Amino acid sequence: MRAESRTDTALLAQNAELRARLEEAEETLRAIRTGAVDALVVETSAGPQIFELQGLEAQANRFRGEILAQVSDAVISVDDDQRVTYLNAAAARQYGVTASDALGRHLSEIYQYRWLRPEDEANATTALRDTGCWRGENVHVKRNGEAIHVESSVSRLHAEEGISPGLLAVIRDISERKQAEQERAFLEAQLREAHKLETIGTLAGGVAHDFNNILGTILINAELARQDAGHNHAALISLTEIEKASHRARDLVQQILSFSRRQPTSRQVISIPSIAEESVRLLRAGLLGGTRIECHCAADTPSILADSAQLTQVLLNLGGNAAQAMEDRPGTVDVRVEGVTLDETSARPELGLRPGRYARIVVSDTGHGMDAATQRRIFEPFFTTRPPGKGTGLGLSVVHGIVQGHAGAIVVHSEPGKGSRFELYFPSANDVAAAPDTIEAARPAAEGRGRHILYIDDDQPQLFASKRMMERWGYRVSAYFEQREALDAVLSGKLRVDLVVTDFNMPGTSGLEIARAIRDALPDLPVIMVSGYINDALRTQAAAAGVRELIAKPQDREELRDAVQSILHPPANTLDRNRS
Amino acid sequence: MTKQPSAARTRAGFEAAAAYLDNARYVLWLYVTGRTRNSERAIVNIRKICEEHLRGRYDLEIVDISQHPALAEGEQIIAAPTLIKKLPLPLRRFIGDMSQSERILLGLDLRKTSEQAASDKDH
Repeated sequence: MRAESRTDTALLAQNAELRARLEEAEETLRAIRTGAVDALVVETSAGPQIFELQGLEAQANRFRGEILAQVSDAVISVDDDQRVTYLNAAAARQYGVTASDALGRHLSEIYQYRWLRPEDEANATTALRDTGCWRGENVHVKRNGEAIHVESSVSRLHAEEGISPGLLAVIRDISERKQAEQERAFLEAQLREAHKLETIGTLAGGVAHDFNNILGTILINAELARQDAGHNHAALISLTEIEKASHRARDLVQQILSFSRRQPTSRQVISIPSIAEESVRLLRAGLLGGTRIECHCAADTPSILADSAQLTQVLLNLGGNAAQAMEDRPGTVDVRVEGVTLDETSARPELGLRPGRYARIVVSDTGHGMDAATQRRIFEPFFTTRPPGKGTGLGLSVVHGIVQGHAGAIVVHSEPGKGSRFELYFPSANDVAAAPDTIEAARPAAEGRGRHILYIDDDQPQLFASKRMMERWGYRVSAYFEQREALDAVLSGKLRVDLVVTDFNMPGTSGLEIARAIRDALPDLPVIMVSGYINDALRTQAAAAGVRELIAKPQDREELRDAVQSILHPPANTLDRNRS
Repeated sequence: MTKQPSAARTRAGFEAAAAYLDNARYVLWLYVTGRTRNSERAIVNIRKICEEHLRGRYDLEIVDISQHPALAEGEQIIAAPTLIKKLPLPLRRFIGDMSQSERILLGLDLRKTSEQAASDKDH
């Protein structure tokens, strides 16, 4: 009985197995007949061999497939459930997948969309519904997290023989183009900013020039009035206040000129740490109770070629700003001086920071910080976040002008509530010793003794005041505001003078042209030139034109007096030296 | 002696088998020939079926025998595309572009036959 049962069970199992194999065979035949099979596999003594079944349609499909495979843009089709039904080799490369891994998967498993504008997705849906196609840009985030900027052309696929309804997308990776566009836009913005600052600088410099003339007149007249008033005159107090206010105004003009990089500079090889420590000492003296200021200077800080007075001004401006950013709350201003070497990767050529050795000054604070909009404008002259009367808005403009003038760069990091950090980079002096400024010892004043001076200046109040002042020193002064008239008088011999003092910046004939004309016709006649803008180029030009002294406006009366005396009444020791 | 129904033929047996299949991990191997039309369709269709009915409990291995015919050896493959259900047993083969989803679901024991459905109804 049990044996019979076992036999029955075995037969039943064999029967089921045969039925299953028959079903498989029928299914295979059906698949071949309906074209659902691409190849037959035949077992041979050499192993399985593949025989592809290629009908005309298959050949045509293969041809079309080859074309799509060769397209350099990614081509992907999805069905109505957003499942991938096709992708070409470029798509596989672009998204880092294989066809066998991607086919049938939901598109979101291949990449995620990030629309550039909130309305883009709705616009794309509407366009596909109404016109059957959409073209636009968006960002695709790949499975590895990398985001690429793409330009897509999407068309609706209608159900046909062998084609599932859905969408077909041709996707071009435009990340490199976008990056290049962003870099170009960034550089253009920087260029615009530089032009803007340059324009403002030119404007400010021009205003400063006129302002200098006015201030010179005020200062000279105040001095003359002081002499006229005599001791104990009631007007002396007012005159002193006028002079004080004029000096304050002159300092302000100097700041504007610093921004517009038109002030004379005196460059020497200097060590920043000593200047930083001295500046911090000055800053500390003016700090409110809760604010601390610390200074750390690294021993390896390279020397730089700089104007030490300007560098001090930079540190005082930045330190003062940092202290004010605390708004009377406890906090710390940190001044750090160190040497840094920028290589190809850390260099910032867009900021003018090329690979090399730099001295870096970092001034950071724990104050209120700045938002992006404020950061964009901090170097603009007269831009200030302080209440009226609390700041001129020139401090950072001056810093910018000075750093630029030293071929340096500024990097600012700041966020609201997180403080600010100003990084200043100055190129290393590379141990090139600059010639120290020649400081002429003040020579004792001497009386004019009736020597004749021709004074030329297009600014009449300035001319008038200067004439009066020099006459008090004992000189005879012929004052001209018409340059050509003055030049004709002296060159024709109608006017015999011992010295010519001329302004540089005048409409028509400049001070340099006057100097050249005198050098050519009367080489023994000395010329002093006065200018509100003195730079290395002007010094060179003035020397070539035979100018004996170049004096900055508004000229210090003693400076002018000394210059005149040194030319007309040279001290004996100088003469002795020259003769030896 | 009355013949006792086998465990699989009782209602409890069906439910136990169904519960087993509901939790079983499926191991499926799909043999294709490169990027031919039916091979690509087969991949799309079987992955859709798996995602809809076996999400999180299937391993789908795609084997391209156009590049390596030896991979078909010993698997009794006579045409491509061919899908082999290796687990859960019994082993089953399906040939074609896998577009006959109902037949595939039945073959994968993911659909009850009309007989089974009627039996469930009777009980």
